[in-house]
Amino acid sequence: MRSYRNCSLAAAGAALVFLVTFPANSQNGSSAAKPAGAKPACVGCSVDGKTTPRLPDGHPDFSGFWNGQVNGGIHSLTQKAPDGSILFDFGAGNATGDNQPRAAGPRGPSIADDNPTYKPEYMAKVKAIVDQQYGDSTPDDPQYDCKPLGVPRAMFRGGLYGAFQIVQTPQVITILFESSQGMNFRIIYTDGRQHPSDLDTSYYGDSIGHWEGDTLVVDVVGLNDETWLGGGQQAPKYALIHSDKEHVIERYTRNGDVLTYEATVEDPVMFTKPWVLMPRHIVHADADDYLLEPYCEPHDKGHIVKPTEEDHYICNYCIPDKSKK
Amino acid sequence: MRHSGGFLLMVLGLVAATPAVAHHSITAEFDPSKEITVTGVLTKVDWTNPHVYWYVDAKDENGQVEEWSFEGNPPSTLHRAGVRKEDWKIGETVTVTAVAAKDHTKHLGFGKMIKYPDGHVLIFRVGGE
Repeated sequence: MRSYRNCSLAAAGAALVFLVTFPANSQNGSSAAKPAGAKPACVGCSVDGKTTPRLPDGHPDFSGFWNGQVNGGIHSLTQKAPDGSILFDFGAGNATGDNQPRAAGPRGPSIADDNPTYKPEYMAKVKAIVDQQYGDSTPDDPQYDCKPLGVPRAMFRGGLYGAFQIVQTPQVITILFESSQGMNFRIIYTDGRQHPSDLDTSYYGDSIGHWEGDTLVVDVVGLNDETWLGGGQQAPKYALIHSDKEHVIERYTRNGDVLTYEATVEDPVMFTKPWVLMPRHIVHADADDYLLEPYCEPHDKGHIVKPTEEDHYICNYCIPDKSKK
Repeated sequence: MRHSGGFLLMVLGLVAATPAVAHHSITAEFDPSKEITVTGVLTKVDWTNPHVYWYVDAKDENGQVEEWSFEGNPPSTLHRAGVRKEDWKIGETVTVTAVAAKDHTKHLGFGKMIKYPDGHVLIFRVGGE
């Protein structure tokens, strides 16, 4: 079991050389030798990676910190030298943070293509927003106001972001977001109550859940229209505006250390039909990882540029080649 | 980017796999072709989402102190990669190499390197370099 804190490097003589360190060694690293197959104590983890934790009432327990790095640790992004120098290389390593567990064989359809079906007049608005995005960024994206991401966007992992902690009791399930800003919790009531009759709309709406076997089915209404459905780092790209008549039915399942999130989003105002999302999987975090504070400052909004003929998105850090003009 | 002293020899045997889902692109705000260098006192580090910010008080050509703001990577990514707020060392006189804001905001850049008086550096590379 890798330890993400074990990123420091052995000295390499007098020369100030950055050496590569990778998690391949860290299983024999600072932790004491463990019997094969045993995992360190991990709050919320499955004891063996396969058995799903359950509450005393028998229902699956989703409690835990969900931040799975499916393809390896992001600690491979950093190299340290003996003089205290640090190289942080965001493009390094295998830190894709992909939402899908790796499987053998060809990949199927991608979450990036999993867009809702808007009515033509609303698709035109969505397309107009996307067309003036620089890469995945536009100041119109409410995340740049540090607003909560709403439902379902707050549940999406985007790149290396989107971790959340779940704390579950038989009566309520709380989701605490690391990357959804503003108000950053949701409460799902599983005590049998109905939605309030006098509900005001809000960023996360009102959520009530019930069990169907080992699946938690959650009904969400009362969502305000100040959030986007996806976009930015949270694919898909053409899932943006929605009305305050949005209605979401979520399905949560857990198998061992994998949480699966499914949802159907209805918007009778903007959609031609319900949007049935592709399942998104997230793996439980390592034992020594934990929820970080989500405090947000809206520094970026005022500085995001629009694409022009001369300057449009090529990659995260590209210089347009003007010699081709 | 010039590294003075030539003492940095980086063995980059890393697999350069860019994230499957696009990181918020630096180029939406900053111009990688416009490098700026600022020397001054590091006064503050805001360890905030979506990007950390640090601030340097530097003197302009008239000797007036002006505050520069530098954007960095997300704090969660830095933290999990083993980089800490305390690595910035508030109070030190540093030389920051950054790339300038595209909207021509003065005194704002995306920080690429911080060099300290004892010669050690913090270097930040972005996916796509």
